[in-house]
Amino acid sequence: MKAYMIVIFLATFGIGSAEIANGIGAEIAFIPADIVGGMAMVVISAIFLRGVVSEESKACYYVGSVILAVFGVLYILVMLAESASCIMAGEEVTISVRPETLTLLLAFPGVLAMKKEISIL
Amino acid sequence: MDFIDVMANARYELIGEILGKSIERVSKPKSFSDLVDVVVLDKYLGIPIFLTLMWAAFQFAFSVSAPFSDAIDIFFTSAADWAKANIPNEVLASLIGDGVFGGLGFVLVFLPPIAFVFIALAILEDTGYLPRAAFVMDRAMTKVGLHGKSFIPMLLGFGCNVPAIMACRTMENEVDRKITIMVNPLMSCSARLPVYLLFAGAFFAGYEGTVIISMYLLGIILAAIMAKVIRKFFFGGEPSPLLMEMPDYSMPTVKSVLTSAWIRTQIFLKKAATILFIGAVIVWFLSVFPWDATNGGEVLENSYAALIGRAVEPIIAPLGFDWKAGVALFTGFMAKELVVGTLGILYGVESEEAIIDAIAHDFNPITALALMTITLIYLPCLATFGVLKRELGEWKLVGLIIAYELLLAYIVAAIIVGIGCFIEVM
Repeated sequence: MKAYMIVIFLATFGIGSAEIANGIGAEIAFIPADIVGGMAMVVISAIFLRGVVSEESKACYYVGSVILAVFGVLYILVMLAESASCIMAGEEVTISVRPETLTLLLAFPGVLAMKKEISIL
Repeated sequence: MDFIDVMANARYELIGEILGKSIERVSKPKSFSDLVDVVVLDKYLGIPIFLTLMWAAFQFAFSVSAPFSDAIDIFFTSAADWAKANIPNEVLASLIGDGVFGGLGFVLVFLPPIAFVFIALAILEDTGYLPRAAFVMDRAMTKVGLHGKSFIPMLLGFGCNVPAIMACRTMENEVDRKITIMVNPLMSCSARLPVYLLFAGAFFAGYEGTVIISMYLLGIILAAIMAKVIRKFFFGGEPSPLLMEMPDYSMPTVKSVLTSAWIRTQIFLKKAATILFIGAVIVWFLSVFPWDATNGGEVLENSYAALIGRAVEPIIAPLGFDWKAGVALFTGFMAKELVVGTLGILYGVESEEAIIDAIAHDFNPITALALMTITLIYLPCLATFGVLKRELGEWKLVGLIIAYELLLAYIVAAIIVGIGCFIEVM
């Protein structure tokens, strides 16, 4: 589990840092310029890092995965809303996929493990 | 520490003593809630997690609700056009087209984001996270002179200041209660959201979420500063300690979330059908009459609204605002949503896109930010004003709130304009 948490930490920290960097003027491809969104990803990465270095790894794994899933779902909803707005305005639908939607896949194992834990308890 | 706290501490000490003698402790596996609380209530991660979840809630409210707002916008614009084209009487056509559909429709465009904020808050509430948020914020609240229990009324203030001020009744300590009530109007209620949405959308495209949440954070920071100042100069003493029981986490149901959000959204709808409707008609009247002098609302400079605006203009002109902003802020005292409704009527536009183009001539990003800040801080609305008097019971304290809010609004807006001008010069 800890090895997997390191992977998620690296992914979320990388995306968050890149979003902050783009927000202050850098131009990293496929990454939006969003300082606050980037900071949110850095907070999520900090939860996983805390799990790697502390004894409470299971708790961090669950909470981090749930918040990561929340953000993944949120950006999918935002994507759908933007498409709906384009259709209503009679404009061409352009889909801009945020990297957070892809990290949703990384959150699945943690969310499923947490669901199993709840059913046991 | 007052008498109630001494009693509570003594009671818990006695309970601990009796439990120690009568119960044999066995090691028990942590419950799921205990497991989650290790992270959520963490000394270092607790507040960043809280801020991250709040930001997600506002992104959800602002971005996901957009197509619903667009649909309402299209409907009211078409209805206004239809009314103006098909009603033969000029005054009646203007009343229904510009006043009713234009003014009211312009406010109702902001119904979806408000409903989505309530959905997000209901999810956080039903999962059992909100009491944890109160716990996480307790240390910060105590540092600024507020009580841990102040957090729930302050959070309710994000919805509406009226129930938030009434929720302060749950606070036992009279001084803590009064201070929480006095700073509650600084919490950014949902009625201010339309103003933020309009100006953030017009001048900070792509960063709307960030600008809007910064307004909420500014409100929290100013409330903290004012709580400290009010305690120091008017009441004295220290906040009493927080004692609360954490409920277990639970999975919210769609029905409970939607019911809770609907009950809160109804308050906005009822307001739209009463105060906002009347307000829209009054603003329409002030902006088109005298009918001949304004040429049926074409020459706004000759209207009654312009008279009011020009009376306020000398005070707000140094901040870069003209008389139209003065009228909008004046009507905003009745209900904060009327600020955008008034601008819609004064600029003679029905759709959100059209008002964005119109205000771009009279505002820039700096003055837009200053107007958002003034809307956040200046006078509480009429309904909040009434509740403040009832709950505080003293005109002196209500007068103090009005005085500090007006002064603070002007100072903060002046600082924003000053910094903005300095950056421009640089």
